[in-house]
Amino acid sequence: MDVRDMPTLPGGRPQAARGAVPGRPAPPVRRVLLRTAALGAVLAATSAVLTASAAQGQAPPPPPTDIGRRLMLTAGFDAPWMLVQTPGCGYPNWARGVRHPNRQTCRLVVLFGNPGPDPVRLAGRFPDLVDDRGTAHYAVRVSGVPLRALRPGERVVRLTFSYGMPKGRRPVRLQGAVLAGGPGVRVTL
Amino acid sequence: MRAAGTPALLTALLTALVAAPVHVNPPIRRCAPEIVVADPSGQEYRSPGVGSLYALKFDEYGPPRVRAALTRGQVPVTPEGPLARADIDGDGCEDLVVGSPHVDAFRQPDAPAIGAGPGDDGLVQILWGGPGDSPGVRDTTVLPAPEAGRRGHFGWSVAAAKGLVAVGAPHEDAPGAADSGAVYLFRLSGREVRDAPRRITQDSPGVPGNGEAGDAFGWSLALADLGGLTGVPELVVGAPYEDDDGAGRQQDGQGVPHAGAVTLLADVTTAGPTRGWRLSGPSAPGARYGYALATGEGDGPAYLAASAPGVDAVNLYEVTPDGEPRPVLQWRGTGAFGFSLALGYGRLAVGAPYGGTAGTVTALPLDGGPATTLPGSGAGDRFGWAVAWADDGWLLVGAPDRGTTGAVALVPLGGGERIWLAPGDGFVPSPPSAGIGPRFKPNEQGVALDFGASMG
Repeated sequence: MDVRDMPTLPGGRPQAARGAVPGRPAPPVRRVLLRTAALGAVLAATSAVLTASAAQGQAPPPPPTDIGRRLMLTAGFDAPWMLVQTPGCGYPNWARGVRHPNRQTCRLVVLFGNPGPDPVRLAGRFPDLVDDRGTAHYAVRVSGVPLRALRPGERVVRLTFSYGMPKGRRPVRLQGAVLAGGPGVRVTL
Repeated sequence: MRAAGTPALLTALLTALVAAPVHVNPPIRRCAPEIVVADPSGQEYRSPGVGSLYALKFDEYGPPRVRAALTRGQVPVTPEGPLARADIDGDGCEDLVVGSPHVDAFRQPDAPAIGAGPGDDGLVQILWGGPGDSPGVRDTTVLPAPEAGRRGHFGWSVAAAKGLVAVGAPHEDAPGAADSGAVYLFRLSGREVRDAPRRITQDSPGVPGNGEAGDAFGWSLALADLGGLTGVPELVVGAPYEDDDGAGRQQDGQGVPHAGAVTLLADVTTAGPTRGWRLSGPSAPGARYGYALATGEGDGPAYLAASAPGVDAVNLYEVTPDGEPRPVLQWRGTGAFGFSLALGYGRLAVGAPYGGTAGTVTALPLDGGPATTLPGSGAGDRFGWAVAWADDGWLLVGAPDRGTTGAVALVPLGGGERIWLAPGDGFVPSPPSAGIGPRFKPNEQGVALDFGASMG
């Protein structure tokens, strides 16, 4: 897609600043006045539409979450980190070749990076997933290679873990140690 | 979507507005985007960590009016260091250099196309800008790591000047010195690479220092005509994990560990012997001097800034006409002060993403005048992870941990409201999901995770 096809961010530069930009010619006055008048009419109409829809209810603020945040695994600005994506649930859950009627599988994509100069060892078991009733479920790696350590500069992006749990349950947090011998972490989902 | 319920009059007015001419006189040249923002961890459909690259183009009135679009390279774009912009081919439009240190390029059997997959060799892409073009797949040059299997993270850092591209591979090994690092210098004629790249390490003739294990030479780069021969650039290289251990080759961990160092090589493309300077920062354990670099050239003196975020210090050098750097100022801060740097408009922008609860950015006049401190606004945002100067003195600040997607703020230094941009906000597109198929689970669809982690 060409950038010219994308919408332009509304608002614009403050009017007072426009003439003060060196090297950038100001637009002709008549064109600006015409466009300003038309824009005013559009904004007034749009405002009425948007106000009407907004008055129907204020959406509550989203709950705090660690999804998408770089979670530092040790101290320091160049510490190894972990990024967790939103888990996806509702996949079939299989046991001994049979689909379980009352259970689901949740999948979680995890990224790791180690920008620092020293290798770090990972825990033998990835943290448990705790559901909305407080029950912990163990992780099974479904993609990516077994990961025991992160070398200096290494970055791992194709790790997916799955968790089996009863249908209707919702993942709430990850809980457990990520680094070998490291402290337990609590990741809000 | 909103327009579906609007009255006919509104639709007509909107149509009239869209159809109205938007060019000022004289018409501007449409070149590469002014600013590029990367999400190195973004996910396209079922491809986690492929990364996304966004072009932000200011319209005729300048910032904050901006158009945003996803930009693609020939192979996946996963930039993790600063991006480089320069008019490399001399056509009057800036070109983009994007490193992907965790992607390997390979030739497909019996096919001219270049394939790519996860790996530790790395690659670099030059996205060529030109009049009327938006950089993309059609106009891309791929520079694979010169030697496969070195696992040096080629593309960790990039820098560019006219006819020249420098690429850092800080985890490349030398015999007996793992992760000592290297820099590759590519010369180009127009859009063609002229010859095999020149490999520069701390053991190269004329380069001060010694290549030792863990130095990470090439972690950061800058390429600019700071002095010496006119039109011939200087190359500046950061090695933040260099130990301050005196002359000669030492074992890793000797002396002051990870004090860091910066190397300046004058007139780097000339045929004669290399003239180099070693710049030492605060000699403190873990200072990591050379973690970030910035250069500024113009009508006045040329400047070089280098940071030591481990001790929250930034040094400013003025480069003499013969290319020698002389220290002029040192600033101190908190919160990994100097994690990111950008020089422009007579100021140095210094990012400190761990400053306060949200991170801070400080704009420092190069004449030593009073600083302007810009605090982040959301706890844990890591505001200041990346900084770049935009048009007309606006500052672009990356906050890759803001919300679930990350965000960038357009900050008017003259005062005024910040403009936040984030994927999915209606102006910046989200990474694409597949165009067909069933309803996606959240972990399958296109996801932005780290928007603002890298900019240029």
